[in-house]
Amino acid sequence: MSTQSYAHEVRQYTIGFIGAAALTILAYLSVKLEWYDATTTAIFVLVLAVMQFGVQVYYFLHLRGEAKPRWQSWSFVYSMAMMLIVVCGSLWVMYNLNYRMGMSGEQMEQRMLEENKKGF
Amino acid sequence: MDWSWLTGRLSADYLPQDPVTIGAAVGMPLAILAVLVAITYFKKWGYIWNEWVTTLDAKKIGIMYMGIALLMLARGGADALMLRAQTALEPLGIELFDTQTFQEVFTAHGSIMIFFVAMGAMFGLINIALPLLLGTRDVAYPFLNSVSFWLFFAGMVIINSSLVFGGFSNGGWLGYPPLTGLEYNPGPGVDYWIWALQISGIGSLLSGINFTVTILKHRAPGMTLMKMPIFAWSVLVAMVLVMLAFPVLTATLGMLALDRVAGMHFFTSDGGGNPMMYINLIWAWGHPEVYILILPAFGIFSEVVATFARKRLFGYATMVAALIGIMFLSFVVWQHHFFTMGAGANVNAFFGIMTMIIAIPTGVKLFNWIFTMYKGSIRFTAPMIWFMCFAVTFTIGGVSGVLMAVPALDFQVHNTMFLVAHFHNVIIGGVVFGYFAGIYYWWPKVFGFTLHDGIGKLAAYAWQVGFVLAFIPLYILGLMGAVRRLDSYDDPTWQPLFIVSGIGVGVIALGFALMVIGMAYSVWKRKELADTTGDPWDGRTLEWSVPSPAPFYNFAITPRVSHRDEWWERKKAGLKVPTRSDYKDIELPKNSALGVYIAVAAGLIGIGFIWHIWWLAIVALIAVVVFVIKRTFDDDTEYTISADTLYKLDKEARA
Ligand code: HEM
Ligand SMILES: [Cu+2]
Repeated sequence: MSTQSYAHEVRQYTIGFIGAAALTILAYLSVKLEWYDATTTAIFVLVLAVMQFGVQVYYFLHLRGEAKPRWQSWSFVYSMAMMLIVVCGSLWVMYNLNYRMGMSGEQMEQRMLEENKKGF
Repeated sequence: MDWSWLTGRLSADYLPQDPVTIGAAVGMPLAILAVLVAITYFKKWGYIWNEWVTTLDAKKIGIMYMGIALLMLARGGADALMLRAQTALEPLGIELFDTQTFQEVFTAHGSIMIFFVAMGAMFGLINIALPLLLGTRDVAYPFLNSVSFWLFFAGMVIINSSLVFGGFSNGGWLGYPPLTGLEYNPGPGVDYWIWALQISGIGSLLSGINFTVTILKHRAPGMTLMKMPIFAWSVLVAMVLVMLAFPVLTATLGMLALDRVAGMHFFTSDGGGNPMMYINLIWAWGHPEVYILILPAFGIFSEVVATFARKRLFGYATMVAALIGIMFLSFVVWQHHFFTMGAGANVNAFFGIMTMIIAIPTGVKLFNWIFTMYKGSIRFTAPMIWFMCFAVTFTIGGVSGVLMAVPALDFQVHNTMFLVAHFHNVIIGGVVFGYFAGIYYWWPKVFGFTLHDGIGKLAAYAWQVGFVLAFIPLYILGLMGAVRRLDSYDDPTWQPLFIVSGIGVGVIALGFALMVIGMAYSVWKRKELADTTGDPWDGRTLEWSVPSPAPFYNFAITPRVSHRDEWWERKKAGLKVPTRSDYKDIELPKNSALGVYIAVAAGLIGIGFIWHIWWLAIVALIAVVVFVIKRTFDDDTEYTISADTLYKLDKEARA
């Protein structure tokens, strides 16, 4: 490897490392120091998580310019697909479960009243 | 003076109380002591350290995996024997265990069988066979391989040491909260369970990466993906599942651990948590896990059937397609493990249908094996007998699985003995029989002599008969309403079935004993059973092209591959004797002790968390990081064998 590309690589990794660390610390502080109210914090942390994901993929995974056969790209696509299935599936399952099982008696009553108002 | 900062919550209260556990707690350390004394007496420490502990040779690591797996099979089997003795005898007033101990024992049984027997034997066989089948010298990352094994070993030590000090989890092999939460289980038992799984699980993840890269990047020249032996394909898919599923396990257990030590509320009903989320997540790992275990077994059977039917495997391409189908489908069925938790009809129907669909690629494989045998000239050796037992038993298990995939029906049998019968049906009849076939099939390649075939067949028959006796009654009991994890019952009509089941476990134990006896006998008669050709079964794939036992460099000359059944085709075309100029210098990894050090440190992190000895956990964590960095900056990790030496070694090995 030439020294130039080596230096480039070190820089990329350093930026990636600092970026990832900064995003993590930011998330921690926002919760610990209660910068926002609960809902905003949740959204803020989620946004940070997505950014974290982007940083990791961009600086560490080297998906661009991969030679054939593009194993990394393919495994990335596959992992994304499976992850989406598990995440969306879990949300679906959990929403359904919470709706049916996770409510207090009062909440359930409230919910039934609302549903009833909508009619069938 | 308060010493709790130093010793955490260690205290004499945690020593075992009941007689059975005390017996084990005294016996186990004594047995270990005896082994250590023997090693010292025979001055074998150097040999063990240099040839085994620090080795990076995949075959030796594989043998160590297999040794631990067989040992743990004995431990888990003893648990099972006691559990079934209790259910057979309990109505007579004979109780081996109180309820708490009974729960600890079945939890240990399940966890040990899945994580340390099945996973261990799987990685063992892959280590032994995969590089040879791919025509390569080693796995992609030999050092990582050693780390994986020793992490597995550390997990094994942790799970077994709970027997002596602290007791084990009572939460079942998947440890559902709230039972495993702090409120109901404040003691160290659940922490033992968490950290044994966590540490060995990380080892599994690393292995998954290692073998995937090995298959994708280290195949012999000319071996395209569609020319790989089907065993390699099945391992590839299993390892892809490992890479995706195990992080889910690690994260889930991690959250449970945080709930327990850091006062968090991921899985508690208060504080915004939700125990149902744990069940959802653990099965998002758990269902892929059952396929991780079964796929390599399918791969082994594919090689075994083709070899002993002396025919090429029927439907190679459909087999690959089925595997890839499973790779996707096994991530869309997990909810079938909690149909009854309360989800609505839409959710249950979706996952029920997906579950039925995944049975199709599984069925395809069975037909492929049957068509492979059709008009073949079959030799009924021990591996083939394991296959025949598998084909019948696994099919029954698959059918009961499809039954339970119907949510309406699952409401009747979920968490009954029927479910217990199902998964033992597929795990014993599928996974275990598959790995046993692999042991009998590859044994000569590893040790240079075959296992006694007659005793091997007897063992297979004993396992098969024992299985039927032990688990078919459980189907009936389940339908009669016997729930799983039962230590006592009031209905006397159940007892005869439980007695039959208990006898069945005894017959299985006999089968296991026959295997061990067969191994000992074969070692004794190793001269007569010696495999001088390197190809005792008239095999088809590359592992049979090298002498037995396979040399540490695997292949003296890197093979060039042009056929799926490369070795078979070469034999047909007539073998050429290699000349001196065919040999090239090769590089092999040097031994390294860092793998062991990393695993010891990782184990100490676990101990620190289990006993709340925080300084230990922190120091050990730092040690892991230091060891990893040390290895990263070590450039001197390989040594060269010159072409001359190789030529000489190869000539001797072939003589
Ligand atoms: C032929 C395809 C299969 C189908 C359709 C199937 C279906 C099912 C279903 C619906 C359940 C949940 C039942 C309940 O909890 O009430 C289940 C449980 C289980 N299955 Fe299967 N299965 C199949 C193959 C396998 C294989 C190959 C393995 C392992 C190698 C396996 C291992 C298990 C285990 C360990 C459990 C439950 C464990 C527990 O709850 O503790 N299954 N299966
Ligand atoms: Cu499943």
